[in-house]
Amino acid sequence: MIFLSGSLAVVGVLAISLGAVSIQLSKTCSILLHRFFGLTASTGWTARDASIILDLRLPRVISGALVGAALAIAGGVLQALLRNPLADPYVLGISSGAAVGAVLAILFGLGSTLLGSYAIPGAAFAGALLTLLFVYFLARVQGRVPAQTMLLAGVIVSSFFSAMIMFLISVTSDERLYNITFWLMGNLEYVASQALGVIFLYLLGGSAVLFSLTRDLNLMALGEETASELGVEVERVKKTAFVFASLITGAVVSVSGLIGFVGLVVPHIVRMIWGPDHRFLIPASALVGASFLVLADTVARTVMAPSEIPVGVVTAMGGAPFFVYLLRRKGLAANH
Amino acid sequence: MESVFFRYPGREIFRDLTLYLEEGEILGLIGPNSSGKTTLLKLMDGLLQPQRGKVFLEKEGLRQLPRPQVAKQIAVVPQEMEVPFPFTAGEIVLMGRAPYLGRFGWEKRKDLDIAREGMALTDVAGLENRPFLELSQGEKQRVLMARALAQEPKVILLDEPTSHLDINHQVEFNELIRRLNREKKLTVLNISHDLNLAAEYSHRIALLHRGLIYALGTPSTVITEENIRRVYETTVMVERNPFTGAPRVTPVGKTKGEPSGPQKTIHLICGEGSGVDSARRLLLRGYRVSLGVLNMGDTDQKIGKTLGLAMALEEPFSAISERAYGENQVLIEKADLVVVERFLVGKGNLPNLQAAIDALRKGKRVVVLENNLEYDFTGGEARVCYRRLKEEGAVFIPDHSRLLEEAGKHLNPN
Repeated sequence: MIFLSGSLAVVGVLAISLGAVSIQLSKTCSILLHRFFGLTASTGWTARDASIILDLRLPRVISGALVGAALAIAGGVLQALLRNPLADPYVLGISSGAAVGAVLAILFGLGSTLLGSYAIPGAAFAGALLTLLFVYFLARVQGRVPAQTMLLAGVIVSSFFSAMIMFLISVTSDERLYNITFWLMGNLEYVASQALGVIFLYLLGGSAVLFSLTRDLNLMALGEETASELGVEVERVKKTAFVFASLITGAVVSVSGLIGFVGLVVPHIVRMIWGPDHRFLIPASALVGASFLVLADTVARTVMAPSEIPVGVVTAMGGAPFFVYLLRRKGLAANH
Repeated sequence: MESVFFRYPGREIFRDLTLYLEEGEILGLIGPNSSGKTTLLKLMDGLLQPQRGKVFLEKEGLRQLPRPQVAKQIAVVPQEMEVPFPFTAGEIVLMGRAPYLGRFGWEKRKDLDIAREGMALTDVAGLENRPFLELSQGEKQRVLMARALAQEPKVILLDEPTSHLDINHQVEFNELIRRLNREKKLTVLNISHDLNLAAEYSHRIALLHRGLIYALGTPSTVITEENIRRVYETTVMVERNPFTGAPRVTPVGKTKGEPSGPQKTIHLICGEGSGVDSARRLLLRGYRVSLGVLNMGDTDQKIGKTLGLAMALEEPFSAISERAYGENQVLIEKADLVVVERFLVGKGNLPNLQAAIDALRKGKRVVVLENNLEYDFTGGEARVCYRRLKEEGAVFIPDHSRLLEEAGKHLNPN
C-alpha cells in the first residue's frame, strides 16, 4: 500500500512537469516544495512557470487522480456485488444518465446562464442520481434488490439513455455538437478547481463508507445466501454499497464525462496481482486507478501537444489491449 | 420450528409443518426431489421467512436475531458454491470467522488457528494456498465443511454434502460428522439423497413428503418398505446392514414386471444365492425366469420373491418333499430351458439334480454349470447324478460368461 502511494506521488510529479511547455523536473519539484512546504527558496523559476505548474497542471493532475480513484473503487465494489469481474461503474446506467443530463444542459445552453460553469456538472450529477433511483426501484422485488435484476435494469436503462443521446445528437447541428461529443469522450480539461473540493468531499465520504464494507464484500462475492449464512446483513450492505458506488461515480462523471475502462481494468489488474481480498483490493484499486488516469491524461496532453486528445480515448486505446493481454496470459496460465 | 406455513410466489410448500431439531442429535432429512428439503433448511437458517408460524433458535425467534448472532450458532454447508474470484481455499475457510470480527477487523492469530484446525479435521490442510476454483468437487465440499467448522457453530445444516463425493469420502465425511457430534456436541441436520447413509449415521430421520413430515423417528421405524414405496413411489427391499444393524435399502427397480424380450422361460435350479446373478441377467435380457426348489429363507428365495418370480418352495431347512418336487416339475414343464446352477448339494436337495435328469429324459434342453463338488455331502450320489446328466446330453459350461450365449443358441435357433 505504501509502495502504491509512493508510485502515485511519483507519477503525479512527473505528470505535472510534463506538458506542452516543458519545465524541468527539478524546477517542478522545487516549485511544489516551496508552495506547499516552504522548503526551497523561491528562485530559479519564473512566475510564469509557477503559474503553469500550480494553476494549470496541479489541479488537472489532482482531478485525474480523484476521477481515477473513484472509478476504480466503484468498479471494484460493483464487481463484488454483481459477482461479475466484468462489471464496471457504467453498467448500472449511471454514466448514461449523467450523459443525458449533461447533453440536455448543453443543448438548452445552460452553460451561459447564471449557473455558469456549474450547470453542466450539476445537470450530469442530477441525471446520475435520478438514474440510480430509477434503476433501483425498477429492480426492486418485494423489498429486495437482487443483484442480477439490478444488473439487468441497469443495462436496459443504459441502452435506452444511449438511444436518447443519439437522438439528441442527431437533431443538433451547430457548434454545441462539438461540446457534446467532447464531453461524451471524456476529458479532464474543464474541471474547475472550485469543483475539485466538492468532488474530493464526495469521494472522501463515499469511499470511507465503501472501505468499511470491504469484508462484507468478500462474503458477498461468494453469493448472497452464503454471505447471509456467514452473518452479513445482505440487503443493507447491498443497498449501501450500490448507493455510494453510484454517488462517487456520478460525482466524477459529472465533471469528467465518460472515461471508460478505468473501473473495469484497474480492479481486475489489482486482483490478478494481489488477489481478491477486497480489504486490500478496494484501497489498492483507488491508488492504482489514480495513477493510471493521471498517466493516461499526461499522455492525452502531450502526445499531440499543443492540441489534446480526450483522455477517454487514451484509456480505452491503452486499456483494451492491456486487458486482452492480461486475459490471454491468465487463460494460458490456467491451461497449464 | 413450529407450525410453519411457507409459500413461494404461486406455490405452497409447507402447511402447518412442525419440526424440532433436538440438541446434540443428528437428524437425517430425506424425501424425494422437490419435497421441500432445501426450503426447510433455508427456513431453519432464516434465509427465508415463513408467512405464518415461527422459527426458533432455542427460545428466541430467529427473525429477531441479527445475522452475525445467527452465524455464530448455525453454519450451513451448501451443495455447491460458485465463486467468481480466485480466492484461495484458506481465504474461504477464514471467512467462516467473519461473524466474530468487527467491521474493520482483520483475522487474529486465534482465528487463523481455528481455521487451520477446521482444515485439519476435514483433511484439506494441504490445500490452504490453492485457488478454490481449481479444487475438485470433493475437495471443495470439504473446504466448505472446514469453513462451517470455523464458525464454531452449535448447529450445522448440511444440504446433501456428500452428493458429489466418491464412496470413501462419503464415508469419511459422515464419520467426521459423527465424531464432531460426539466430541463437540454438534447438532446436525443432514439432508440426504442416500437413504442408506442417512439410516447409518442419523439418530432420527424425518421423511418429508409434499411439504409434510410423513414419518419421524428412528431409522428403522422411518425407513420401511411401505414408507419408501408410498413416498418415493418405488419398490424397494429393506434389510439390515449385517455389520451395523441399520436398515439398508435396495431398489428393486424395473426388472420386475412384464418382460418385453424373447418371451421365453428359463427355469433355474439353484440355491444359496447361486441363481441370483443368472436370474438378474436373464431378466434384463427379457426372459421369464422361474426358480426351484428353494427352501424358504434361502437367499435365492428372498430375491426371487422381490423380483416376483415363480418358484417351487420347501419349508425352511427341510429336505425336498414330494409336493415341492412336483411343483418344480410343473415349472420345468412350462420352461423352454433348464439351467442347473452351481450350488452345494446335500441329501436334502439331491432331488433337484434328479429333476434335471428327468427333464432331459422328457426332451428338455438342460444347461449345467460345471461343478467339481469340492464339498460333497451326499456320499457320492451327487457325482453319479452329474455323470448321468452328461450321459443324457446336458450341455456343460465352465462359467456364467457362456450362459447367455447358450440360452440364445437353444431358444432362438435361427
